Amino acid sequence: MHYRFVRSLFITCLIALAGMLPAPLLAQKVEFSGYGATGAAFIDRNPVAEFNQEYYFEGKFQVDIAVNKKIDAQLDFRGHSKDKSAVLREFSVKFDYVDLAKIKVGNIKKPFSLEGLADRDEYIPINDSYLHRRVSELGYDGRNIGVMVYYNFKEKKPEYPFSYAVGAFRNQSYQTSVYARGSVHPGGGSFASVGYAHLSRTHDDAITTHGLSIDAGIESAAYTGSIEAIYVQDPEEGIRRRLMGADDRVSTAGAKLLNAYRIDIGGEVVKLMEPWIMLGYFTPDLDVSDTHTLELMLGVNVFLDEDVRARLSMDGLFSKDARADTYSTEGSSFGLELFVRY
Amino acid sequence: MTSRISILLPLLLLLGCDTEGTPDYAARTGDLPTLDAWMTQEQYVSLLSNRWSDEKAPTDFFIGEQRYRGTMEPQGAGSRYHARWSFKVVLDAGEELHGLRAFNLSAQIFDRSMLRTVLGREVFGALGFPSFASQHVFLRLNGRDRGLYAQIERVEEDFFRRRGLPVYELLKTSFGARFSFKDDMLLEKYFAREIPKDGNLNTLGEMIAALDAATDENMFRTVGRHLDIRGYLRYHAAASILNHQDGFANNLLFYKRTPASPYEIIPWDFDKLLYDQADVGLVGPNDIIAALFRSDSCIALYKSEARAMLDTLITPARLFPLLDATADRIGPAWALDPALGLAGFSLAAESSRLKEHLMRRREVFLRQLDTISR
Repeated sequence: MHYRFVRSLFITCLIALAGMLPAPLLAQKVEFSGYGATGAAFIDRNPVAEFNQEYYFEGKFQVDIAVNKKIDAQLDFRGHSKDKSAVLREFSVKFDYVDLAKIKVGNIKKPFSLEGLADRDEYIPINDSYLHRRVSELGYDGRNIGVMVYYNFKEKKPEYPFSYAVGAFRNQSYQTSVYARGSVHPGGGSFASVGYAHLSRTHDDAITTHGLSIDAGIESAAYTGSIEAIYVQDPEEGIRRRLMGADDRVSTAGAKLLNAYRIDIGGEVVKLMEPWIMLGYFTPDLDVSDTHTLELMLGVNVFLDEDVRARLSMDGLFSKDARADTYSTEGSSFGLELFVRY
Repeated sequence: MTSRISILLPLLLLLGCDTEGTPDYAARTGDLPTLDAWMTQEQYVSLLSNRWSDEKAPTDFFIGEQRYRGTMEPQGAGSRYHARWSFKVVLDAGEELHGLRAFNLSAQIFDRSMLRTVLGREVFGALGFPSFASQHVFLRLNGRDRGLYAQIERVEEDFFRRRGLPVYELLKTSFGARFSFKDDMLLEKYFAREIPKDGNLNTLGEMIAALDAATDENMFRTVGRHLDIRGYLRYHAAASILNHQDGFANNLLFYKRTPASPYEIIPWDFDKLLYDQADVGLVGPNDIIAALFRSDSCIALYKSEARAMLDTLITPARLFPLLDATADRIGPAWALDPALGLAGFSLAAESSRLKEHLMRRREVFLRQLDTISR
């Protein structure tokens, strides 16, 4: 299986390269980037204990094409040793005619939450937070085909201390969504944001739901801290409640707090240490908040180079049903990873 | 200082939790297997938001102590419009789950009782039709309960190999399939040749042309060369008694054992058996039966086949114990299904409704069978 995966990734890269080598390369600036990672995860989950260890490798191959000064395109291929082939994750085109209103079209990230917009190679923990996983499953975070108008704050342009994104998306589950997100950047690496999502599913089991996210944080050379709170309505549970003749508005909410410290070691091998801690809370139904999951993530990233990290991560999940006396640790995991960005 | 307190307080709360290990989810469903499917989180999110794309997600499946590897993808037509939909699973070469390498996990969205497939397999199997293998499983996907599903064998090469049944040709039908060239019917619109997979629909076209041209006098001589008429009439009578809504157009497959043999029927997808929103009448509507009923002999055969099954097969004594035993077996899983038991429905009530509908159909046929004519 690994051979097939490597072969598939190799062929994909060759095709991508081959398509770019002829004459247009002379006119277009093409850049490659991505990452590779290999690691192990030990997961507390119900399937037989012997299968609760996963050893994996994964990679991303991204091609950024500057078609001209105003038009950029991006291809993003991913592969994971669990998959049978590399997949095209994103194709997008960016139109940069108006500095404060860039336009992006393609299979792109929906601008809802702070974590939902982060790239994998920017992650401090190895895994997504439980809150982000659940919100993605409900359809609020993640990629869909759509069009987005946006501006991202640049430090060299302090006269525009804000970011925003407004987008409309459609997926292949008959869901149309509209998003709006805005951030202010008062200075010193700090920011505060609010995001709104409107999801509307048509056909049988049609339902419309809403989501709201707020976050704030600060980022400096030595410290990253952020707090994020999300409220969304659960469309799946809403449909089930409707079948029962009950109110189909089911309010789901969660919050998380992340703190990471960077300690300059300056050694021959280890350049930087980044210990971090993340605390989270999620309840699938605010009316029954005794059913909830608490999350404690702890870890350290050891930088051997700016782009090479050894990562250790413990993800403790403590889930409780309102009818139970104790918390279950199902889904908790421990991970080790070597991550290289290029 | 504030940031340290903001970390320490929740940390103390977490460390103060009474904890236990992972619950034994399989124990909740009694004898019924719990199929625990796991894929990467990214694949899972993509699967949820792209149910109309047939993108395969590499998946690990666990039942009890066993792990199986394969792929999972959304499956079905109408069911994909619903919150609960079906999946196609193909296991890696050499792996089989309940004897099947490729199968559907069918949500059976029109069958709240989850008993109709058992009923359909029993009736059509007893009538001599090749019947797909099926069993219930409780599906969990990435740690979330999806609910009770029917694991259904796919009708492909393996289906025939497993039964030692020769197959020269297999045709699948789709929504609204027509069996007449009147009104500009286009074969490619309604039919797909699955074995061999070459798109050649000529022999089907010959059967349909024969149906269009058939008369009372030449029916068995012309149509009989292309279609197992007696077998088809038996199928049609059973499908009509069982009010098999989709059984006259899209949920039946045609196969030939050899190039020279006539088409025979493989029944498919029973979640709209005894569908109570519409009634197919004493003779379910399609172009095949309309053509066959130009023959008095076919009408007589239809009645005798229907009478025989009403006398010995479609009876409470024969079918109800099977339905009751199945309901007992699936009961615990049915109660845990988010769209069934957890949505406030009752298996006992759904089962009773199904049985009552079956008995109503039986009584109508016993009373009115002799009135069927051209």
